[in-house]
Amino acid sequence: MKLISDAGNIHTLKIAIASELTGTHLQYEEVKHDEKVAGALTQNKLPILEVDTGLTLFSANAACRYILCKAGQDVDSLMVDQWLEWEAAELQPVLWPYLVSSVGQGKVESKQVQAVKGLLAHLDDALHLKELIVRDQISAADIVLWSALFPAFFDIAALQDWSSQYLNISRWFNKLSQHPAFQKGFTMVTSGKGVSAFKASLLAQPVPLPAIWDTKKLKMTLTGSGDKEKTEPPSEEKSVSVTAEETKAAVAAWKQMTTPTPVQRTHPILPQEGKRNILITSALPYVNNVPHLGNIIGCVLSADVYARFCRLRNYNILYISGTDEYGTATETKALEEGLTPQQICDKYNKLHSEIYEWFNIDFDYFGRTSTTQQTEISQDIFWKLYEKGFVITDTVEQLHCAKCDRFLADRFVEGTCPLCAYEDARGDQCDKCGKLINATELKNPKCKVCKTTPEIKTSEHLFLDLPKLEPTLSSYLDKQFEDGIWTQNAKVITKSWIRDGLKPRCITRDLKWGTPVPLEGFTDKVFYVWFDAPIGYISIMANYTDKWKQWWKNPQQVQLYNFMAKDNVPFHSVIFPCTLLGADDNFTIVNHLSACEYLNYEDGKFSKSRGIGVFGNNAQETGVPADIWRFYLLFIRPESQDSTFAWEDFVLKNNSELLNNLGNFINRALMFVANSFGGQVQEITLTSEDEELLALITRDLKAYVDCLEKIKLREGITHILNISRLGNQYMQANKPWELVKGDAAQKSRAGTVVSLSANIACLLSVLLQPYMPQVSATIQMQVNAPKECNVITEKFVCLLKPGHKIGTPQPLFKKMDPKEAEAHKKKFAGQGDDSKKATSGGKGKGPAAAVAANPAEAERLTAEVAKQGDAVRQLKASKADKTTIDAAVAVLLDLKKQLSAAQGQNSHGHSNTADPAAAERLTAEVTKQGDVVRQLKASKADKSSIDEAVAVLLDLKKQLALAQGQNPTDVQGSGKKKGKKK
Amino acid sequence: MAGMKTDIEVLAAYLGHSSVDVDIDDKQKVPLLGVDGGFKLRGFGTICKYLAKQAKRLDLLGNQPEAQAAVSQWLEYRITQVDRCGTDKDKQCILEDINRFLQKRVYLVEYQPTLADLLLYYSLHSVMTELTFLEKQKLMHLSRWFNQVQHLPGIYQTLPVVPFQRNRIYGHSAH
Repeated sequence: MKLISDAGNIHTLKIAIASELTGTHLQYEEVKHDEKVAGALTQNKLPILEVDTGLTLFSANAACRYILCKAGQDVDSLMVDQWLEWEAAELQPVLWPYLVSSVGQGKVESKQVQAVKGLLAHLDDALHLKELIVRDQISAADIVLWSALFPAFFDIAALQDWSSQYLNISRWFNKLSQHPAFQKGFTMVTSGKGVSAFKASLLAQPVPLPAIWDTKKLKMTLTGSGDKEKTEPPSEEKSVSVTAEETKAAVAAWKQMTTPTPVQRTHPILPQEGKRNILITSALPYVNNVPHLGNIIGCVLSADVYARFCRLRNYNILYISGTDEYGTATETKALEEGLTPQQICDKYNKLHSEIYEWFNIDFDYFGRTSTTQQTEISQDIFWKLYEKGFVITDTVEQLHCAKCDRFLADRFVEGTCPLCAYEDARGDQCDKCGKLINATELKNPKCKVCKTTPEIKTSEHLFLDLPKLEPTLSSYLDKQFEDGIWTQNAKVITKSWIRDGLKPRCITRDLKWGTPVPLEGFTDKVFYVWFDAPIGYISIMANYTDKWKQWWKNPQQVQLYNFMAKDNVPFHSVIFPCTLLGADDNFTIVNHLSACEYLNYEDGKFSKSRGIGVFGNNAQETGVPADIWRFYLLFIRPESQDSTFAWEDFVLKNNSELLNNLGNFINRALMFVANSFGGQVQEITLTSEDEELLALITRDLKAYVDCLEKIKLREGITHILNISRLGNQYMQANKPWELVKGDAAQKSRAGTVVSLSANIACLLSVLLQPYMPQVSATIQMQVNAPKECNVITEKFVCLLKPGHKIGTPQPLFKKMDPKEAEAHKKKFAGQGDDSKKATSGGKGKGPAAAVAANPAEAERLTAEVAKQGDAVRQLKASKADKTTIDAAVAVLLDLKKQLSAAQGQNSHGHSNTADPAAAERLTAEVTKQGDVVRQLKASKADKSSIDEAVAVLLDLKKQLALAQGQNPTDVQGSGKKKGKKK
Repeated sequence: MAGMKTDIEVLAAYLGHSSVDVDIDDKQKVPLLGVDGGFKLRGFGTICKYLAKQAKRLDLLGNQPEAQAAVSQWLEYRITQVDRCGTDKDKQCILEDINRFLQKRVYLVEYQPTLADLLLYYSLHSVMTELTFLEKQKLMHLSRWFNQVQHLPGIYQTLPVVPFQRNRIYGHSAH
C-alpha cells in the first residue's frame, strides 16, 4: 500500500497511527501541499491511500479503518461507524476553522471556541465510564478522534482548560497519548517538530464544508444581537449540561398521564407470539458443596438481576436453574459421609435451595438433574447423535480394581506423585506440586475404597465427534457473536477452543451414579457429566411444565441467555451447542452468553477445605441482610476482570453509598413530606432548575436501561447511585427546611422540592428492584407506591400525583461497624492466615473521614467555596502573577474536595484502594518524571515535548493519589475505578 | 441536495423494513434512529448501514475489507460533500468528479450495487431530474450509471424515473 500525503497533514496522522498499531508497512510518498494526485477528486484533498488492488481511498477515516481491518484488528461495530461519521460530518467542520485560526493565525473568536466546546461536551458524555470509545479495544474511532483533537489540545489558545473541563476526554486522551503507536505516528507526521508542523498543511488543505443549516444559523446570529453571549457566560461550575431537547423530552415524559401496566406472572410461563421471549439459565451449581460468594455472583445472582430487570421491562421471561447431581464427586462425597448418592443429592439440593431463597433469588423454577426426564431426554439426544453418525467408539487405558470389580475414576485412585514423589497424590492432580496428572502415571496406585493395587486395563468408550460438527458450530457461532450479547472472555475462550482444533470428546464414564448409556455394549457405563449436565436445563424445564418443547424447540421465538463463570464457557459455547446441532432437532441453542471472571476473597481464593471465605450459609449468620450482600456482590461483580471481596470495602460501600447517599436521600425526602406536609404530595410547579434535574435524571435512567439490556450489571448500579446523588444535591441546593418556614411562595416551593424528591425516591425503588428486591419493597411501602410503577421505561413519569398519601418513612440502612467487620474477617480467614492479616490491617484507615455526610459543615464549605471562587476570578481578572493564582486555585480545589466529602458524595470507591507498595513506587516515579520536566524546561526543549512530559507527570500523580487512597476527583473526575494497581 | 430523512425512509422501504422512526436532531440537523434498548443511532451513513445489516443485506456493505472501506468513503463523500455543496459551481464539480470516476466502472464499488450507489443515486436524483439531455450526454458515464441504478429491481418504483437517451443525440459540434 502506498500513502501519498503532504507534510504535517492532520488526517495523515490517522493513517500513520493505524499502520504503527498494526505493524502494516506503508510506502510513503510526500507531495506538495496543493499538489493534485491522480485518483483524487477535483479537490486536492490529501492524504490518499493507494491500496494494492488498485483501489484508492481518499477518505482518511476509511483508510484508517481499512488498515485495522486488514490486520484483523477492526472492531466490527456500528458505533465505530457512528463516531467516524461524527468526526467527518460534525466535528471537522467546526474544529478545522478553529485550528486554522488558532494554529494558523494565532487568534480565535469566542464563537469558535464555544462551538468546539459544544462538540467536546458530546464526546465527553460518551466517554463517561469508558476507557475507550467502543468496547475495550483500540478502534478506528479512537485513532480518528485522537488525531483530530491532538492539534487542538496541544495548542496554547483558548482550549487550554479542556483537561479540567472534560475529564473523561482528558483521561481517554492522555492514556492514548502514551501509547507507543500514537507517539510514533505523531513523531512521523510532524517530523518531531511539534504541532507547528501542522500549520502549512492546515492552511493549504480544503476546509471541510459546513452543513448548510450552519451557515444559515451563522448569518442569523451575525444579524442578531451580540449581547446574547454576554448574558450567558460559560458556567465554570457545571461540567454537565443538558440540551434544550433533552429538557423538553424529560418534561413531556414527566407530565405523561399513562404508563404501561406490569404484567402478572402466571405459571407455567410459555413463549408468546409477538413478545420478546427470553429464556434465562444460570449454570447448574454442583450439588456436593455449599456455594460460596463467588459461585453466587458468578451465576445465580447475576442471572437473577437480569431476569428481574426483564420482568420489569414486561418481557416474557423464564428463569430456571437447578442442582447438577450426577458424577464422580457426588459418589466420593457419598462415600465420605456414608450415605447413598441419592441421599447426598437430596441433602445438598435442599441446602442450595435454602441459600438461594435467603439471597432472594427469584427462580421461576429450581430443579435438579437426577430425574427420569433427564434420562429420557439425554438418551433421546444421544440416539439422534448416534443415528446421524456423530458418535464414535475408541479405547482408553484405565485403572481397574479387581476387588471392587470396576474401573476407577481419577478421583478414586491415590498414589505417589510421579513428578514430586508426594505420597498422597490424587488421581487427577497432586495437591503438593499442583500439577495435573494422569491416573495411570501414578506410582504405587491404590484404590481409594479398598486400598488394593489396581491394574491397567483397556476399556471402550463413546466419543462425540466434535471435529465433524465444527463447521456447523462455527457458522452458528459467527451469527450469534454478531447479533447476541457475549462477554469478551466468552468470545475469546470459545474462539481459542475452535482455533486450536476440536478433538473427539469422551462422553461416557465407568460410574454408577449418572444417566445410563442406552447403547448395547455400554450399558454398564453412564454419560460423562459434561455431556448430560447442560441437558439438565432441558430436563429441569420438563419437570416444570410438560410443554417444555415450546421453549426448547423454538429457536425462532426464543432467545436463550446463559449465565456462568468463565470456567464453564467451553461447555456452553462449544460442547453443548455441538450436541444440539448434531441432534438436529430444531433445538433452541445459546444466543447470548454472559461469563463472569473470578471473585477472590480478601487476599486469596475461597477455599472450603481450608475454611477461607464466606459461604452461602455463613452470609446469613453474619446478621447482614441479604440485600446488602446482593448490593455489594453486584457492586464488585467481576465483570471484565477478577475482583475481590474485602470486608473493609464492604463496610465502606455500605456506609458511604447505601447509608449516606441512597438511604439518606430517600429518608430525607420522605420525612419532609411526612412531617411538613402531613404525608401528602404537593402541587409540583417546575422551575427551569427542576426541568434540568429531570433531564439529568432521564439521562442516567437511559444509561441504566442501556447497561442492563447489555448485562452490564455493575455499571447499572452506578447510575442508580448517580440519580440519588442528584437528588441529594437538589435537596441541598434548595434547602426545603428553610423554605417551609418562609412565606406562602416559599412554602409552595418547598412543596415542589420535596414532592419531586418523593417521586425520585419512587423511581429509585423500581430501578433498585433487580439489585435489592427487599429494600425496593420497603421503599415502595414507605412511599405507598402505586402498583403500576413497577415497569421500567426510559421515561421518568410523575407517579406520585399531588394529593397522594405516602406511608411511614423509616431509615432503610444500618451503619456497619468496622469492628464488627473485622471480627467477621477474622472468623472467615481460615487457618494459617495470620501473616496476611497483619499486612492488610492498615488498609482501611484512610477513608473513614470521607464518609459521614454533614449538612452544616457542607453549608459552611459551600459558602467558602463561593468566596474562594470569587477571589480566584478577581486575581485572574486583575492579571495577578501566576504563582498567586495557582496558590488560590489550590485552596479552592481543596475546599471543593472537603465539600464533596461533607455532602457524603463518595469518591467512587477510590478511597478503598490505598496500596502502600504502589504508592511508594509511584512516588519515586513522580520524582523522576518531575526531574525530567525540569530538565526539559531548563534546556528549552520545544513545547510539545515538554507538554508530553508534563502529561505523563500529571497522570503519574493521579495514579499516586489513587494508590494513596485519596479522592482524585479534582484531577480525574468521575471515572470508573479500574483497579490498575499492579 | 435531498432530505436525509426521506432518503432513510425510502431506503428502509426498499430493504423491506415495515416502518422506521427517524428523528432529526434540531440543533445539528443530524438524523437519529431509535434502535433496540432505547439507544439512538446518530448519523445518516451509520443509520443506513444499520438498516442494511438488519435486513441481512451484507452485500450492500461490501463483502471484503476493500469494498467495505470504499462503501464507507462514498457515504462520507455524500454526507460531507454532495449534501453540503452550496453553489451551482460546486454541484457541477461533484457531477464531473463522479462522472470521471465512473469512466471505467459499472458501479462505484467493485462490480455490484452497494449502499454507495443507492445513496448517491437518491442524493443526485433531484439534480439529475433538472439536467438537460445535452448536459446528461456530457456526463455520459454518470448518466449510464444513474440509469443502471434507477432500474435495479426494487428501486425504480420509489422515485420517478429520470429519462435518458439511449444514443448520442448531439454531435461534437453541439458542445
